[in-house]
Amino acid sequence: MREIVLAFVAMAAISFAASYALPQFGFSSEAQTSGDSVRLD
Amino acid sequence: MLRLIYALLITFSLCLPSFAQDAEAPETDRSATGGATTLEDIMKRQEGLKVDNSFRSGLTGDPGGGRPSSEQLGTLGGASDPELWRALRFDSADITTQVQHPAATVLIQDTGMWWLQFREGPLTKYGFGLVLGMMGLLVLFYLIRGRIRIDGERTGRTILRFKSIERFAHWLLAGSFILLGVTGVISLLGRQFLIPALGPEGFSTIAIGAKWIHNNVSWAFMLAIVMIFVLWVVHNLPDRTDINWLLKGGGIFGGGHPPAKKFNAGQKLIFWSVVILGGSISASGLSLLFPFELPMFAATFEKLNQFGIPQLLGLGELNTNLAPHTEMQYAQLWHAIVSFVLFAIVIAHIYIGSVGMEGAYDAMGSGEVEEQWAREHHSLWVEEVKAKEAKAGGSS
Repeated sequence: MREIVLAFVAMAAISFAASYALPQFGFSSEAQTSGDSVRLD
Repeated sequence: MLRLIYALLITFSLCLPSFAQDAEAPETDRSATGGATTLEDIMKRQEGLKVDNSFRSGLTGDPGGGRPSSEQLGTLGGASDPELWRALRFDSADITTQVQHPAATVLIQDTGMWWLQFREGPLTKYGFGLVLGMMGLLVLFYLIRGRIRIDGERTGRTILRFKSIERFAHWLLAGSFILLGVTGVISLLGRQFLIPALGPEGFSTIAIGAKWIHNNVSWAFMLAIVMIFVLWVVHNLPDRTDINWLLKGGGIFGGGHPPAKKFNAGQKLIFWSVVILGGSISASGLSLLFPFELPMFAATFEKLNQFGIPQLLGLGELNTNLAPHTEMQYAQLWHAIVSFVLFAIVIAHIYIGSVGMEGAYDAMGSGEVEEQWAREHHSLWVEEVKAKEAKAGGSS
């Protein structure tokens, strides 16, 4: 039971970390399809 | 059992005519239209038959061949409007743009409708058919075989089957897989089934949440696959005991318990299914997560063509000149198809690990299993454990 709880806590932590960190490194599908990446210059 | 096999064969044979119709596409005589699209072509397209567009895909004029516009009676190029639109449709137009988007030069994506129709039609129908079919088979199996009980008398002693880190990796994989499955289904069927029920605004909230969960929980899923691979690959290498186990059907329908090591042949099949199919789902998922950045299908098709596999299957050479959108569409279809297959396999795993077999859940619950259960299902592994314990006891 302890491992199940730990796994879900880890899953939440990994998800929030990925959600925060990936856009910081430029890995964002939203960033690739909007804003500067599609601007006319 | 024989009746069940006949039923499955009949069901499968009923599916064949629809495939046969897809394959039948007689040659069209286009002399009446001077080589242009005929009524037959239009009818074929409406009936969902494959239309060979090669007779017109190359008719895109000569853009550089017109009289220069600086001269008298100069033109804007040697291609007419229909030829220009044809070039746009078949992705052969020479387009330049200031837009930085990777797929910005594709203005018409010819295979988009096929993808949309396949996604909403056969993919959904056969995908859920497979999953529901597996559930039905398991219910049938339960009714015929019942719960697999521990045959011998319980010893009251337990053996540590899975360590804490192994159970953690298993539940990380299981939890993320279920969440990804649910959110994936919401993404796949939302437009067809949830919008009519909840309305666009109600579905929007759910869709945004499902997308966030699906995109971010995927990293936990990938980490868990790596973990279980590292932890268990040594125990899942095929060996001679697997042949005996498979020949005896794992002893599921009686005939005693065939000897097995830490993982029996059935569990090894589950393991490799999860690693290979889960790895493939992860690869196509990454391609979808980073749109247009990780195209995989053109390169894969090229390799398959080199090995002659599609030719062997009568598919001819696969198209390796894929538009960026087509790459994404193939990635989405592959992602969903392989997920459905893995889901069907995992349902069987969940069944046998819970209601299907007495004592099995303990292995991933507390990690400790009843010794009698272990002796019946993993006799060679128990001998290994006991030998190690005796050796450790003797040396201390």
